[in-house]
Amino acid sequence: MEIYDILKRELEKLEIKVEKKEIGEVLEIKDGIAKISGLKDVENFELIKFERVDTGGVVLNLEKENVGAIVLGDFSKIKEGDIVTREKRILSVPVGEKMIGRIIDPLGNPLDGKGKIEPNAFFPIEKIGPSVVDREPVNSPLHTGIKLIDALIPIGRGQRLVFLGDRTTEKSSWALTLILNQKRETKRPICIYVAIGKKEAEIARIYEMFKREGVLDYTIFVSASASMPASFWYLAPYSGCAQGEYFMEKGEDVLIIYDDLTNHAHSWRQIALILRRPPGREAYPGDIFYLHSRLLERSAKLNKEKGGGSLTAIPLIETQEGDIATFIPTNVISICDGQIYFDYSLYLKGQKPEISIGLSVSRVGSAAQTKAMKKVAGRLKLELAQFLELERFLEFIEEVDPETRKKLERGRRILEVLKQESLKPLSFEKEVVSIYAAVEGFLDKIPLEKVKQFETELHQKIEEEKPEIFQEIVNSGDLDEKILRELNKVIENLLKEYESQRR
Amino acid sequence: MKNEVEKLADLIFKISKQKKRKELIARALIKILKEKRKLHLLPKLLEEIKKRIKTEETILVLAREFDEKEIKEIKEKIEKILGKEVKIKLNKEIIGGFLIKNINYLIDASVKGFLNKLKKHLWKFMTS
Repeated sequence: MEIYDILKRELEKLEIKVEKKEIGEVLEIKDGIAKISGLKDVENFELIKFERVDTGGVVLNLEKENVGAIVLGDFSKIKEGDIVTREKRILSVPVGEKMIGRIIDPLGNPLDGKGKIEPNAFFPIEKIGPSVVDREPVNSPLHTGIKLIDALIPIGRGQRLVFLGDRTTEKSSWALTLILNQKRETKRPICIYVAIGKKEAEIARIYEMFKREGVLDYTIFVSASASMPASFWYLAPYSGCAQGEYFMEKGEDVLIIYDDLTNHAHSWRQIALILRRPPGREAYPGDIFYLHSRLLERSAKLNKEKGGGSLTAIPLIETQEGDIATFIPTNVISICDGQIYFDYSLYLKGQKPEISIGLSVSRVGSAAQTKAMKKVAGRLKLELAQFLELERFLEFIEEVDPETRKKLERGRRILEVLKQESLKPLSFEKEVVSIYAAVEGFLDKIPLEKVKQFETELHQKIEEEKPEIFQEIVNSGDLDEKILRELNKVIENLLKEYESQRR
Repeated sequence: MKNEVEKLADLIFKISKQKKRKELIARALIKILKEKRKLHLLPKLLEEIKKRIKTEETILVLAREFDEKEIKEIKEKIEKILGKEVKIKLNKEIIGGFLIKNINYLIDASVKGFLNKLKKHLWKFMTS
């Protein structure tokens, strides 16, 4: 009886209205691309609907007699002659605070089975980035928790920095380390992880890791897995960017990782070829540069009048056999404000992170570096450059004079200190202390294999005996005389312990 | 850029809308094409004209048969409203009511369309 009432009530709500609809008819469909006749007044990027199967689509090609559209979802049931209706709105995604902690597809539908998400707003997927007058130079740092990057290739909030590397390197893990590190940042950015063309198993593994580490409190996971059609791969980064823009416009900081844009370029090549757009170099369509530039131009540091929010983008690009001079890598490098190159040969040598210092650069980040880090990084750069040159020069010479030997030993220890495991970010104050100890030559007397041990013990000792050193560095962001004196004392005490152990 | 055949097709299609003297137009066309030695264009021309007819065509789909007098009445009334010529088709699939269809527009007042709407509404209600 109750069901009867509910049904009756629902049926009464239903309006029987006859209306004039603008329609089209499917002419042909292949690999997720539909050719449709009719749809006379349809706009580019407008949403359309395949009525019979209740699937959406996006118009991409407006031609003389027909329109080309990508199907968003299962295209196997669409037939020739199916009716297509206009939705009369540009493709947009739901955005908002409720998205945080969820794993969603590029259209904003939840994939974690935790129910519907109430959006705060709808943002268009395609948008032109903020204009010149709304921006300001990058001026605050984004700590990565990776010593080498924070010291030598610093990233600022609002910067775009590409991670390049062969598929055998751990660039994905290092990018994830960035997200992990934001957990204890005082001014924590919202993180967005966009997985493009990743395996379902890998996505599940990353999601579990996020859950375990408590990352989901501030992270949105946009997933376009390998099993989704190319249209989803194509939309994923733009959709993730729209999620970020919502927070940026509210004045918050956002960190977004596109993993990876090589797959994204592949998906666009596939769509463009089926749409019969003329292929160019490496069969990519003519607008492949604009594909990435319009996406990365949307990251920005907004000025005070616009709320001061920022969107930092870390795109990942896969290289082939270490060649960064191919089409897509050079494109993205030229768009971004710097690159970090992960070198497979360094990975084999056991250097972690396997970053090639010579090929990596950050063009704007140093302006945003914290004072304390700037102080130690200046020395670090110099020492490291000298060491790398010497090492190459002395590769085949066994006997060297004591002065040079000292430089070599110092350099080896600095490299050792910069080593780090992926997914284990180090807090900023600890990074500063470690690098300080290395460049000031405190480690020179310690055997190379004990450097790592010394480093962890030093951090422990400071935490136990003089936690105010860490506190002070965090609060002031600087290394003044007073802290240095205290720090020197702690390091020397620990050194003495080591020496007595050796005897 | 429109090519020769398309231009010609546009022209003929426009003239032939005036109902009178259709035969005369056809004869004149063939005569001119013959003179200019362009008779080989005829098949292409036919195709283009067919395309144009299809884009202009409006179809009224009905569910059951009516007698001729009724159909004539319906046709006249709808043509008056739309200001266009209407073709009538029968399709039992729509169950009842009618559909008016053009390449760009659809007016759905069929029982089938209504049932589909009902299905979607109830489905949404049940899954939410």
